[in-house]
Parts: sequence; structure tokens; C-alpha cells
Amino acid sequence: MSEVEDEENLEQAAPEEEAREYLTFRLEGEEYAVPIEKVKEIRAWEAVTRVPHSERWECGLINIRGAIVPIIDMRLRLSLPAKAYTKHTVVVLFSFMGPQGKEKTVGVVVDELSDVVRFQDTHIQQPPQLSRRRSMRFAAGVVEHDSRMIVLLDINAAIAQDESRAA
Amino acid sequence: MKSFLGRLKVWQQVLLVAGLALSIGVLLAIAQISQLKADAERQRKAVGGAELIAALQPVQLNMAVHRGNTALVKAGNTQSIAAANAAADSLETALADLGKKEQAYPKLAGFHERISSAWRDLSGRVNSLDSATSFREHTQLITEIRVHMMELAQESGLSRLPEDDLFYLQAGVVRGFPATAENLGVLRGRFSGLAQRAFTEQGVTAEELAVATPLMSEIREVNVQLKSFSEHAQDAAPSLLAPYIQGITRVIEQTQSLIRQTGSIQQSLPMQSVQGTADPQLPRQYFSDASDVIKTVVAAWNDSASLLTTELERRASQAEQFVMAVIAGVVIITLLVAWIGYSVADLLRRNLGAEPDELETVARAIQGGNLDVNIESGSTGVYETLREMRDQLRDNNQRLEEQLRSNSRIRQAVDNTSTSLMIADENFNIIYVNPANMRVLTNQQDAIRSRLPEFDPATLLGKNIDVFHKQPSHQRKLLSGLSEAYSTDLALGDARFNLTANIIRDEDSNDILGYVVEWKDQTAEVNAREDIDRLVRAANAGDFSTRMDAASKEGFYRTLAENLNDLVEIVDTVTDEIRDAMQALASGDLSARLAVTHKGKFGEIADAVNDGLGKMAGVVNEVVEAAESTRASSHEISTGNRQLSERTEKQSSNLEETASAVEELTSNVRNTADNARQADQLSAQARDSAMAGGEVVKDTVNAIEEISQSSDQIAEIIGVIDDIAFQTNLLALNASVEAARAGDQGRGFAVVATEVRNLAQRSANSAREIKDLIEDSLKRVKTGAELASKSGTNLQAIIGDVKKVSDLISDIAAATEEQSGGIEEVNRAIAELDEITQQNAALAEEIASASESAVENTEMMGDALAFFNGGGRTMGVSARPSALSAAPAHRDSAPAPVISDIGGKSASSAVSKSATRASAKPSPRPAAPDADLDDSDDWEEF
Repeated sequence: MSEVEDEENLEQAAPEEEAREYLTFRLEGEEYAVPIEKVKEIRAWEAVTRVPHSERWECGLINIRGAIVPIIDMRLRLSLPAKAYTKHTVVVLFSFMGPQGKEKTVGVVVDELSDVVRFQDTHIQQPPQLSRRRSMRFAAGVVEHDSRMIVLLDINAAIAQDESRAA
Repeated sequence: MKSFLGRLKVWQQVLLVAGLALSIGVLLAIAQISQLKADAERQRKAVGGAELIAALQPVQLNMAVHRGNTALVKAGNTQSIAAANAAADSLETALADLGKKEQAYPKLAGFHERISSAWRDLSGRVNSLDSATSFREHTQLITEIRVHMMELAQESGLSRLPEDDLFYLQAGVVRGFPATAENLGVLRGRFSGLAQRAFTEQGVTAEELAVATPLMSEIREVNVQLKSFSEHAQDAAPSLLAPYIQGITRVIEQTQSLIRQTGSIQQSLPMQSVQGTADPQLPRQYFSDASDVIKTVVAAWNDSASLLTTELERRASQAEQFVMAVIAGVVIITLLVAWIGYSVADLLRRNLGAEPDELETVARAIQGGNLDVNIESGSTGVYETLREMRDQLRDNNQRLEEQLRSNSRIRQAVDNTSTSLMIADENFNIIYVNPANMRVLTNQQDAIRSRLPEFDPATLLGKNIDVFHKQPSHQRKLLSGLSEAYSTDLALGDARFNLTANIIRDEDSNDILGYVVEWKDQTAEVNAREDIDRLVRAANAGDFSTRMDAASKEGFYRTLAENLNDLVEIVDTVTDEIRDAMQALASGDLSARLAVTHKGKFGEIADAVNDGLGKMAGVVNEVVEAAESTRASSHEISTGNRQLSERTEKQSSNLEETASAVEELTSNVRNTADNARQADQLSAQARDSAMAGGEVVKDTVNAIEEISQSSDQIAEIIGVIDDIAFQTNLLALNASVEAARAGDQGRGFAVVATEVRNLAQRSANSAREIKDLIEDSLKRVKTGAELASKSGTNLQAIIGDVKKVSDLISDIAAATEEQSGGIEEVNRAIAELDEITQQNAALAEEIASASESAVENTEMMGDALAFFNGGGRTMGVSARPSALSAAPAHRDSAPAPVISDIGGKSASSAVSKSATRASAKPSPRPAAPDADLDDSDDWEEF
């Protein structure tokens, strides 16, 4: 293979390797990232309707334009210490396909949103296996970006746990 | 053994002996009683035997009746069945009775069981038996009953009764009557059966009838025995056993009659049977006759048996009662003996009161003189008597000892007394001369010998009192007739004695026991009395030159003479001295004194006279000195007056200067008051300014507070902006999310969203910065407000201080006013001072004239005192009379003008002072001699 081809390959590869966008937020000083296409909406914190006999990390339910959406606290989900909700607390709504092929929406409470970043998948590294940190519980990988360490959160795992329990 | 007995007390010994004797008696009694009791028991047992035998009797009889009737029935006599049955019933009854009786005597029981079963066996089989067997078996049973009767007699001791009467009685009852009854029964049965056969086809032979012969022999044999019993009973107790004896006699008679009847039937019946002439009633008749005989036997047997039972019962009861009586007697005797033993022991114990050993110990102790031996009180008898004896002896001993001691005391007292005593017995023999008397007699023995040449005091004891007398009989009569103390004087040569005689009598019988004579040697006394008389008489006449002759006397009289001589000597000396001193005093000499060596009253007189003289001299001296000092004082007073005038003048000028100084002070004070007023006004102005400053500060603080409020509003607005920025950021993020979902179509939109997000973040940052700035400025504003408030507080303090200053200045102004008034008063005081100065001058004049008259009086006193010679300083009072009289003359003219000015006004004090000064100057002479007095400090205080 010639260098030109290599160049072309590289150029061709570039779109393939095009960086994906990730929404990053902060929990207990650490930065987490989720793919932005999984995010349905971002909302400010509002009062929820509590549900009896729910898990510790389940905050309750809210009504969004007629749809009932469960809200979970990612801090509690990751077994991090609880923090009081302020008017700057943010709820990120994720949507994914449910078991019956029906779109489901789940709200996740995070400390604050930090940014929308882009990086290529090749930059994603495996999470350290030996780490028993709580923040790594649902880590799909780790990315270094602008000399910051960002945990790539497996949001499906984090929420699916909840789903399986619910089923 | 002996020691054991010795250890016991007497009453215990007595009780022991009594107890031993008693126990022997009791043991013997118990042996006897047990013997008696055995007898009684034996008899009681015999009673049982007799009763059982009596109960067996109807059994035997009924058995026999049954046997006989059964035999008749078997022989064909059907009439006898009822009789047999009746006999069987009676037999049953008799057996039941026997059973009851046996229960009362269990020791003899057992036969009832046997005979009852045998009878039941027999009665069950009797119908099936043939005549002979039935008869035999009946007889067998009866034999057993009889044997048992004898066994009972053996077991119950009936056959061994020691009493003859009862022995023979029981012999009949147990052996004689049963045997007879049985033999008769057998005979009756056999013979009547055989006789019956005579009327049957079988018939009867003589040989067959001969079977009765041995039976009859046996009956006769028994009869002989019964006869023998009867005879013995007759010998033993004919009256008691009379029914028995009679019964035996009847039985023998009837038995023999039956035997005879039987014998004749034996011979006649076989023949008659063959001939057919036999009476068919014969068997029945025979049976009946035999039964009658048997009845007689039974009656006798019954009587005898009941007699035996009754008699045995009676004797057994008697024996038992006797045993009880013996036991009761033994108990009573035992108690009696015990009581007597106790009484004897108690009597002994009470009579002795203690054990003989102890009594002996106590008695020996008392005999040995030990009266403190321990004897307990409260006992009785000999012991108590010993104790009382001991107590009496002890009391007696104590009394004797006390008497001895008392006598010894008196003897010692008499021996040691200075009173000379002589004691004679009732025969006037001298038995005691005490040492004092011996001394008296020895001292005077030479004088006494001149009258009684034989006299020797050493051999006086034991001699008769007559040796002292020429006429002893008179003396004796006199003494023995005495009823109270007799006193007389006795002169033996040159010796003089005073004798006091008395009788010693027995206290109880009043008999004369002896005489006591008290000797007093009065030889020296008489000599001395004359000397004293002479001396006192001279002294009474005022002559103290007479003296006693002390050398010729001894003892008390010598001392008396010497002392009297000393007394007269002292009185003589003292009177001489007093006379001399009084003579000197009369001539004006106050220096004379008495010798001070006298003692007592003489000493006191000498001291008093000396004190009087001394004090008189002292008084004179003091008067002289006082006059001298009075003179000097008067002189000094004159001088002082002059000085006083000068000073008064000086005082006036000083007062003037003081007045002008006070005026200057007044003007100064007034200036001060003006200044103070101005200062007051200035301070008021300063206070107003400070108050204005305070208002300004208040406004400032309010303004700052408003700024602070505005800043808060700004902060709120910025918060809103911040929220908007946050929302915008969220929107932008949502936009980014949407753009990302839109993919390539949303790329441009994503860029815009990113820009919007950047803008929102920047506005949020700006809002945060503004917020920080506002907060900072708020802090500063707050600091400014605090500072302003502080300066307001300070201004308030300044206002307060200024006010205080203003008040102080006002006070100063008021004080200055008061000072002005004070100074006025000072002026008035100075005027008063001037007036007082004038009065002082007048007083000085009066004092001058008084001092002059004092000087004159002093001179007169000096003249009067010149008479005495006090022995001290001579009188210098009158030495300078002219100098004293000259001084007041000059002073008269000088103070006069001062007095004239007293009524003048204070304003003219300066004039009067100058006049005083002018009048003082022309008299320089009196000032010169008193120059040194001028320096004296005393006058400065005047």
C-alpha cells in the first residue's frame, strides 16, 4: 500500500473516525460523559411525586407533557453521599427502547452539567479493572480530554438495572 | 470409804443411812410382794381351772345322756329319740358355754375346739353306727373330757393347791364326781340296754349281764376314794366343806343302793326273761333310777364345783387385796422413813448450822484468838451461836484496847505535864510521883530537910504520905473527909508550897481508890512579889530611878525583874528626851529631835514628836519660799504689762496692712468672676457646634443604609440574571442535544447552540463577578456605616464633656462671687480684732495695780517669818523691798492713755496705737533691768 493510499485511507477514515458528541456532567467532583444522542432533554430540578416502597436512589415521578417519567439520583445510584437539590440541580432525560419496543424515558439527577465534548472512540480506554471506586461502577471506559479524566458512563446499565428490577 | 463419808455433809450422811435402810426394806418388801403376787396369780389361775372344769361338767353329762338315749334308740326304744335330741341340744349349749369360758382364760384354752369338732364328727355319723360303736365312741369322748378335766386341774395348779380343804374339794370335783357320774352313766346305758334285750327275741343271759360287775367295782372303788376325800375334808374344814361332805355321803348311799339294785336285776332278770315274767318297764325304770342317782351325783358335783369356784375366787381376791395392802403399806412406810430421815437431817443441819469440820475450824480459830475468821451470817444453830460469840469477843477486845489506849494517853499526859502531881493509895502510901513533882521536891530538898531531916525525894515512892506531917492523924482525917478539892499552903523551912488535894473514887461504887495531891512551889513567887511592889510604888510616884534586884532571882521571876527594870529605864529615857525637845521648841529652835531608837509606843511618840517638829520647820520654810516667789512673780507681772502694751501697738499696724491686702484680693476675685462668665459663654457655643456635627453624622448613616438597600436590590437582579443564564445554558444544551440527534442537518444548529451556550456561560460568569463586586461594596458600605455611627457616638461624648466644662465654669463664677462676700466678712473681723486689742490694754493696767499690792503683802509675811529658825535657808524676802516698790511707780503713768481709748472706734485704732507707742518710749528705765526676762518663752504665750 502506497503512502498516498495511506493518506486517502486516513482521509477516508477520518469521517469514519469522526468524533462523537458527549454530554458531560459532574458528580462529587468527578466528570462523567454520556453519548449525546441518548439524551432526550435537559431540565432543571422540579418537585417529584414520591413513590412508596421504592429503591433508595429512586426520587419519584414527574409528569412531562403528559408522560410519567421516573427520576433516579445518579449520586445514590453510584452509592455516593446524598446532596441537597438546589435550583441549579439538573435532570437529564434519557430515552431508550424498552423491552416491548416502546420508547421509555428516564430522568437522571446530576450535580451540574459541564459541557458538550467531542472525542473519537479510539480515545476511549478501558476502565481500570482493579479499581473498586464507586464512581467506576457503571463505567464503560475512561477518556482523557483537555487534560481532564472523564468517565464514560454506561447509562443503559445504570438505568437497565432499574428496569430489570421493575420488571 | 471413810474419806467419801467425810466429804459428805452430816445431813447427807443421815439421808444416806436412812436411804440404805429404806432400800433394804423396800427390796425385802418387793420380794415378799412378788411372792404374794405369785400366790394370788396362782389362785387366780386355779379359779380359771375350776371354772373351766365346771363348764366341762354339763358337756360330759349331756354327752352321757346322749350316749344313753342313743343306746336306747339303737336298742329299739323309739321313745328315747326326743330325749337324745334334747341331750344333743343341751350338749351344743354346754359346748358354746365352754367356748365362752375358755375365751376368759386363754392360757387354758384349746380343748373346746377339739371336743367340738369330735362331737360334730360323732353326731354326724351317729345314725349310721351300730349301738356298740356309738356307745364306745361316746364313751371315748367322755373319757377325753374327763382326762381333760384332770389336765386342767394339773395345768391350772388346782391339783397342787397347798390348802388342804381346797385340795380335797378339788379332788372330788375333778376326779371323784366325774368318775362316778361317768361310771354310773356307762352302767345305766349298758345295763338298761341289756335289760331291754330281755324283752326281745334275742333275750339276755346272766353272763351278758355280768358285764356290769367290773363297772360296779369301779364305782365302788371311786366311792372309797370319795369317802377318803370326805373324811379329809371333814378334818380340814368341816363347816366350809359341809355341802361337799354331805353330797359325797348322799352319792355313796345312792350309788350303793343302785349297785344293789343292779346286782338283784343281774340275778333275777335272766330267769324272769326266760319265764316271761319280767316287768317290761324294768329297763326304763332302771334307766330312770340310775338317772336319779346320776342327778344326785351331778347335784353334789355342781354344788362342790361352785363351792370350789366361789372359795377359790374369794381367796384369790383376798390374796390380791393383801398384795395391794402390802404395797400400800410399803409405800407409806417408805415415805414415812424418808420423811423421818429428812426431818432428822434437817434438824441436825439447823441445830449445827454448818458442817462439824467447819464448826471445829471456826471454834479452833476463835480459841486461837483469830477473831477475823470468816463466818457467814444468816445461818442457824451452833454455827450462828459461834458467830455471835466471836462478834461479842471482838467487841470486847476492841473496848479493852480502846480503854488501854485511853489509860496510856492519860498516863503519858500526867507524866509530861508541868503540873506536879503525887498520887497515894487509899492507905495514903505514895504510889506515883510525876517528874514535875520530883523536880519540885528535888529543888527544894535542902529547904525541906531543914524541917524534915529524913526527907529524900529519891526514896519517896512507896512511903506513907505521913512523912510530910508532924500530925498525921489530923491529915488523914482531913483528906478522907474531903468532898471537893482542898487547897492549902505548906511551909517547910524556907520552902513554900501550895497543895491541892483531891480524892479518887471508884466510878461505880464510889469507894475511895486513892488521893491525888498537886504541888506548887511558891518560894520564888513570894520573894518576887515584894520586889515588884517596891518598884511599882516608886514608879507611881514618878520616880523611875528605882530598879529590882534581878541577880538574886531565877526563872520567871528573874525575867520579870529584868523586864520591869528595862521598862522603867525606857520610860525614864523617853520622858527626858521629850522634855529637852519641848524646851528647844519654846525657844524657837525647830531643829531639836528625839532619839529614834525606841520601839513600840515610845517609838511612835518619838516619831510623832519628830514628825511634828519636822513638819513645822518644813511649813515655815515653804512659807518663806512662797513669799520669795510671790515677790519675784509680782515683779515679773509688772514687766510683762509693759511688753503687752508694745505688742498691742504692733498688732494694730499689722491689722492695717491686712486690710489693704484684702482689698487687692477683692479686685482680683472680681476679675476672675468676669473671666469665668466669658468662659461659660464660649463653652455653650462649643456645645451647640458639637450637636450640629452629631446631626450630620446621623444623616450620613441613613444615607449609607439606603446605599446598602440599593445594593441588595442589585444583588437580587443579578440573581435573576444568573438564573436566566442557567436556563439559557439548559436551552442551549437541549439545542445541542437536538442538533446532535439531527445529525448532519443539525450541524449548523449545533454551532449556534454552542455559541448560545458560550454566551449564557459568559453572562453567568459576568453575573457572578457583579455579584462578588456588589457583595464587596456592601461590605465596605457596612464598614462606612459603622465608622459614621462611631463618630456620632464620639460627638455625643464631646457634647457631654463640653456641657460638663460649661457647668464647671459656672460653678467657678458662683464661687468667685462667694469669695467676694467672704472678703467683706474678713474686713469686719479685722475691725473686731482692733476693738479687742483696746480692751487688752485696759486689762494690762488693772493687773499692774494688783501686782503692786501683792508685793506689799509679801513683805509683811517676810517680817513674820523672821522669828523662826527652821534650820534650813534664812529668810531673804525682805532683802530688796525698795526695788519692788519702785517699779510699779513708773508703770502707773504709761498704760493710762491706753485705757482712755477703749471706748473709741476701730477706724481710729491706728491713732491709739501710735499714742501707746509714744507713751512707752519715755520710760526706758524699767525696760533695762527686765531685758533678760523679755526673751523668756513664757511671756510669748501671754
